[in-house]
Amino acid sequence: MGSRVRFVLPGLPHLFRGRVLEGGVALFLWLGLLALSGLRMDRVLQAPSGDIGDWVALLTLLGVLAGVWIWSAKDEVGGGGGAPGGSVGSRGVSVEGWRVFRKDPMAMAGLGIVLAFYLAMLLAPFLAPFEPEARGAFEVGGDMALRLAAPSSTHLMGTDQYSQDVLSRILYGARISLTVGLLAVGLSLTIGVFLGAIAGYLGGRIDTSIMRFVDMVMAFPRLVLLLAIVALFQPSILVIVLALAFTQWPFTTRMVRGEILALKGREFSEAAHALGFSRRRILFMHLLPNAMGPVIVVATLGIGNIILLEAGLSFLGLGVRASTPSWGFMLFEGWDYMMDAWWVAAFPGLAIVLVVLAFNLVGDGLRDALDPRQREGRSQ
Amino acid sequence: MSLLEIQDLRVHLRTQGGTARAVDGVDFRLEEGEAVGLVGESGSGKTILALSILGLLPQGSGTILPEGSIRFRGEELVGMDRNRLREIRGGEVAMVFQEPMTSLNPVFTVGSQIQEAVELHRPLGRGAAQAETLRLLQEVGIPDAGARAASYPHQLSGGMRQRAMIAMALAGEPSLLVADESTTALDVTIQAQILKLLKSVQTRLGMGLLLISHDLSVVSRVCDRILILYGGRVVESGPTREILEAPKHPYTRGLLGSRLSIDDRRRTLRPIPGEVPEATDWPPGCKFHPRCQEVLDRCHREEPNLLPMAGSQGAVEARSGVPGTGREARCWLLVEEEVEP
Amino acid sequence: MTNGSEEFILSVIGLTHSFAQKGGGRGEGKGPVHALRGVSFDLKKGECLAVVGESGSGKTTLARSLLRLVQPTGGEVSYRGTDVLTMNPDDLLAFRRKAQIVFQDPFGSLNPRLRAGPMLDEILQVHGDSVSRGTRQLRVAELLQLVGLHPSHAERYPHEFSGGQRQRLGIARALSVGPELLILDEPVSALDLSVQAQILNLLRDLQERLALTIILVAHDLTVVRQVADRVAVMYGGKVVEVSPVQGLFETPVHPYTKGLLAAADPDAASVRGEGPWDLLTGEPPSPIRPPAGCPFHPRCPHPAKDQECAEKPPEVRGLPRGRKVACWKEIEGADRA
Repeated sequence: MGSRVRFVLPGLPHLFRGRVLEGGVALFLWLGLLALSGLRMDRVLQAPSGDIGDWVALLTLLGVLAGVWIWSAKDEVGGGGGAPGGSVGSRGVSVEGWRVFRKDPMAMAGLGIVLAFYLAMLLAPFLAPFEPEARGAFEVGGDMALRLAAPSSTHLMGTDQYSQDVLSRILYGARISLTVGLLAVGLSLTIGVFLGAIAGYLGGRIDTSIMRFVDMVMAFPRLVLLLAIVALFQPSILVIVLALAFTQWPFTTRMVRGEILALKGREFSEAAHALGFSRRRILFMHLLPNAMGPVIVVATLGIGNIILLEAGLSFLGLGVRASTPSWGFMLFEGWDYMMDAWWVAAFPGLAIVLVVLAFNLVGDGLRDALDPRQREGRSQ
Repeated sequence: MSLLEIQDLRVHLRTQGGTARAVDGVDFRLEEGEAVGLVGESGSGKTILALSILGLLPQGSGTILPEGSIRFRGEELVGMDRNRLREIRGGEVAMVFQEPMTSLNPVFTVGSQIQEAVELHRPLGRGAAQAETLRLLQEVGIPDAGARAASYPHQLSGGMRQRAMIAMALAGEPSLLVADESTTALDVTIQAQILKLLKSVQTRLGMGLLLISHDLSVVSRVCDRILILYGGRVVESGPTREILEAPKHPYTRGLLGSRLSIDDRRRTLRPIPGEVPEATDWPPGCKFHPRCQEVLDRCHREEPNLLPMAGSQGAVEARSGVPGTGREARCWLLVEEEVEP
Repeated sequence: MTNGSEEFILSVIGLTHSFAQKGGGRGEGKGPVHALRGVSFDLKKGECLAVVGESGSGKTTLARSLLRLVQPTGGEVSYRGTDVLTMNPDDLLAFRRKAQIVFQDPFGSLNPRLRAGPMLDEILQVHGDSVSRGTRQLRVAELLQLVGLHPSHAERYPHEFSGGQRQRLGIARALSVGPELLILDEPVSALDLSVQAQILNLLRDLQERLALTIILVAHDLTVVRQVADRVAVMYGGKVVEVSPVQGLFETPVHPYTKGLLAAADPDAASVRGEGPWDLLTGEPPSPIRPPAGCPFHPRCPHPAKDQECAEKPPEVRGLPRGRKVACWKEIEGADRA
């Protein structure tokens, strides 16, 4: 016994030291991934010759295994402290914010679910018991009873009308929902933050023109606008991401503008001005970092909404029709069978609900973690 | 029986950094018609003390209910029945706060807020209450009371708002008025007016007044007796003149030494070194000792008690077991003095 | 700490500032806010001039205007011969190295996400001419020690400091560019009493060591008494009295000054035998509807107050010993101090 065993199994030293959360997660991840590779060794070996999805899965698998191991070793060996000095940074607030976030069980649960989904999505080729398009019933020698089969030990979530395994489709389908969600929010954040910052800081005519444009876009009912855009162009992933981002950025712009306006009045902003800093420096290096807190919260909550919208689009038949299914599309297809084969639509629906809920929990947790940080004062 | 009698009051707050002993054993008494000043900086516990008198402590998960005793005319306020406490609050004991803008409801007119207080605490009908509201506004020196009553808080200046707050406090015909930093946010000339108003109202109505401030000069203008608060405890108390002319506790001396009156010639300030520690980090022994210029060995280990000073009226009363009224200080220096004459 | 130098480094002439209210005003009425209504004074090198006033006096706007953080609507601020208000950007940047400001709120005036060291380092980077990283680090440590902090404090965030320490940091920040003129806007009013004196001592010490010229905006007269050489009293957007500090406190001339001193220290006032000044009634004037004539006349208890006061704004007249006053009645009988 001793250090050798500890080195091999990440998470164990943390468990021994009482840090149950980190230890447990690390150990579970490691053992789980090893078990997975063991069980699906043949699939793993196939991966290098597969498509990009297979590569991603392979890299994720190796990456997480290595990463967790390195983290565990480093955490035990080194102090883990940050580098002193350094540039205009924001670590202090983040570190304390994380401590508050950790203590919130709902927020951590949400974070766990989100991360689990993303991990599952990346590892889909290895996790999924079947190929998403495998229509067993229609192959030579296939059994028609495999169509619309209820959940069983082989098909944990049953099969749909094409005898495709629902679980596998959900795992692969996560790609659309989760990727679109992240990309659309990322894009809208970039645009929104930039425009909002400029509008708030510069004021005057620039502010007016940007905000009137914002008003214009927001005047359209969001779903209608989305439908219009998608109907106009071919519903590819790119178009959908762009369309979703386009309907999301006005909200971000407004928020950022508000924050920047408030910060502009604070004395440290005046101080920077008095020190002769250029406007660009003040805006991007001093004001924006302070404005990002509430913006991040809203963005996180927005991901959930965007996932819902994407699912909605797919459900209406306007979503991506690529070979990969999306959860919304699965709902669309399974809707007709709700009475007889509820599992076809229910499980994708449940997945959507779970992911959106998880993002909302994370967003709420972030809000609580970041907000009271600003209140600093002595009690009388 | 005193108007207000506080015995061994302790209020501890549970914070992230530990337990903050905001008020850590305060004793004093306030008689009918007496004006007593409570002086303390931030971290001294003065606001928590003021709030606990009226049971207004914040209801967070961290606040521990006060221990000790607060008696108003013999009635115990700590743990009192909530309905009775509400009757007393705003009625027999009234409070005036620091920021009139946030203490007044911005969406109601000043007059309606005062009238509400009147109707709540006095058995007057609508018409009589209205008349009383106008009378109160005049009493606090607001000209053109009728027009002012119909104004909203944001339409009044800072001084006017504070006068309105005082009018609201007087609506219930209180016997005790607690004023917590009520002049801190005001201009100097307005502050002088408000202090004069408080004093005149207090004398005329025979009310007890507890004036809480960080400014010794403000308190000394209005109060007959002063208590100096540090670290949640009274460190010195006595008649105003005596405190100003012959302060005994090093902290009091430090306060006076770093704040010369504008009448003195300029000389080097002797500030108190260091700063008030976090409420969770009080040192052992005397709470002031790390900053004290005259610290003794004993001060590091033991916290002194609040003792009456030899020859003062307090000393006489102490022997009969009644603390908190005379000339007292909490410092080993005084004990040593007595031992070695 | 007056030194004998008579060199003037700053001349303010007829500074005026009016601006429209955002959102059309409320309560007191709509209309422009007249924050400054013609302020003029000179500043000698090495002296400490205090600017004293209550709400609506315009002292905060004045502080901002001198550094052109606000662009005043009229007047001139001449720094060593050049008008700050019309300088080109390059000269303005150079000026910013010569004149700095320390703010009132020690917490709000610091970027909460910036540690002390990097904050000072950034300033040195922006202003220094390609000074090396090592030199900058040394300078940062120097600055921290100069204001009574420890070099290790460079690692701390603003919320990890106490109020007094934050204000010291604010001072260090202002000094980092090596200014000769330092403007302080209510530097100690947000601090505990016991800390105020520490900061004031620090300021006096720094003034001597670095040969600074200081403009101190304050409302607290005891603060002024400790630190200032000369005092300018402002009321209603104008300067009503300027005087060396001792003269101001011992024999104030302007009725408002008398009232102000009496309000701050009634005992001293009665010792001086000030009769009707001992309690000013009424309130400071609204900057939206300033009174005609002398800004103080509605509240003035001067026995000789008359129509002239209500109609004609008094001019600033010089008195013996470098004193100036803006009052029709006092100039006539002014042979004191």
